[in-house]
Amino acid sequence: MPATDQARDSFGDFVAAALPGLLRFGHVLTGDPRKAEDLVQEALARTLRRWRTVRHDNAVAYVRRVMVNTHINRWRRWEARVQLGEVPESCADDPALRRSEDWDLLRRALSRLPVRQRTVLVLRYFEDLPEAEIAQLMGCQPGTVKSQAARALAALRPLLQPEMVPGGRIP
Amino acid sequence: MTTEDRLRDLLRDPRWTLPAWPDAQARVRRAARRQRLTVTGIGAAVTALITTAAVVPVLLLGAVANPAASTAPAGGSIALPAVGAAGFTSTIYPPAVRARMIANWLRLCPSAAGLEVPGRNVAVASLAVLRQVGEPAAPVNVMPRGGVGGSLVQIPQQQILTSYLRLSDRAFWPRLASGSGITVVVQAARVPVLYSGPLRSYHPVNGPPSLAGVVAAGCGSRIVQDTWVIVSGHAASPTRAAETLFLKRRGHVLVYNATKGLA
Repeated sequence: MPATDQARDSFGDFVAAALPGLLRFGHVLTGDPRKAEDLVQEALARTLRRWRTVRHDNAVAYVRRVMVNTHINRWRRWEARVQLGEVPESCADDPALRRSEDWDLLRRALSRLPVRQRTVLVLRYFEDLPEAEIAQLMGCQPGTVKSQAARALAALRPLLQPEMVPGGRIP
Repeated sequence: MTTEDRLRDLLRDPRWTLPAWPDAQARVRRAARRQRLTVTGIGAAVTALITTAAVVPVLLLGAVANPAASTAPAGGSIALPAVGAAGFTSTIYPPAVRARMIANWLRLCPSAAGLEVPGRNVAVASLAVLRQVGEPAAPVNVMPRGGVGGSLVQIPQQQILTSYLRLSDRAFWPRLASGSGITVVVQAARVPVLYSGPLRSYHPVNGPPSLAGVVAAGCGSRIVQDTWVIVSGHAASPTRAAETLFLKRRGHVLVYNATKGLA
């Protein structure tokens, strides 16, 4: 089999296997299904362009790194401010996404966090990455990761208490 | 359960799951192709911008200041069309007029001769012109004067310059030549269109200064009436929008100005 066909097949297999996890990661990272799909598509396209040099046993980590960098760069370029935007209608109106008050509250609260704080939380509590690795991934000091995580947790803590009142409102 | 455990738990909620794409590989390959084209296009645009800015301005400005005179070929490679030159008939490319009230980006106005009120078909034509101006042809390597021993430099050939000029009114030529016009148009062509319509119907959300007002003050209300504008940018950042102004003269849609972020 020619090398190009092999590369094509291996990339196709990789996309088929990794896509669900990447979409999920993108959704947690951006908080918006459409943004998540855009982000995953862009990151996979970049990965495809460099597929020959990507370590195939570590390709998922590579794509996630591209996603984080792309997401932060987009924010730097176009949304260099604390994001206070509304949760997109498509998300808010989907009844399947509104079943759990807790989850819905968290989603809303995350959408109100600055992008860097949200990214730190996702990498730390969703990906379970150590601070040093998060710092490397985000191009900052481990101390910055720690402080961003602390601020984000402080903002979320009132909403994540076990005695959280169902139907409570985020200020 | 601690706050952190609770957060971890909620972040792993199955509702974060999104449906996989049925045509995933094809979709990614299309996106990769677009990325490659963008990277190549930006490279070509930057090269063209630098070379054009370095070589053409003096020649073009000379042509505008004295439109009746034919511009001599420069360095044996570039000749600029005088009014009525072959391929630039004066009915479609009449001499530009000095603006009555000058703004940085508005020093020359298009001639009112032959202008047509833009109709709906201008929406498609103006977008096509924007895309063409936004994706200039690649410059060609030539040996500069000095012969052997000189390094290769990139100089836009007559054909490349002509392709810019053919899509624009003479009022825009100095800005194309200085590079500022190309920069704005190239950027405008590469971001989403936020508005495409008659200038008189365009009301920027950020209030004054009104683009139509500035054009009216500089070029008169007739020009405003016959102007089509494409506003490009990202909805999340409307202050960074680019506005490209078009006219239709004897069936030809031409760019006559472009400004970045006036609104």
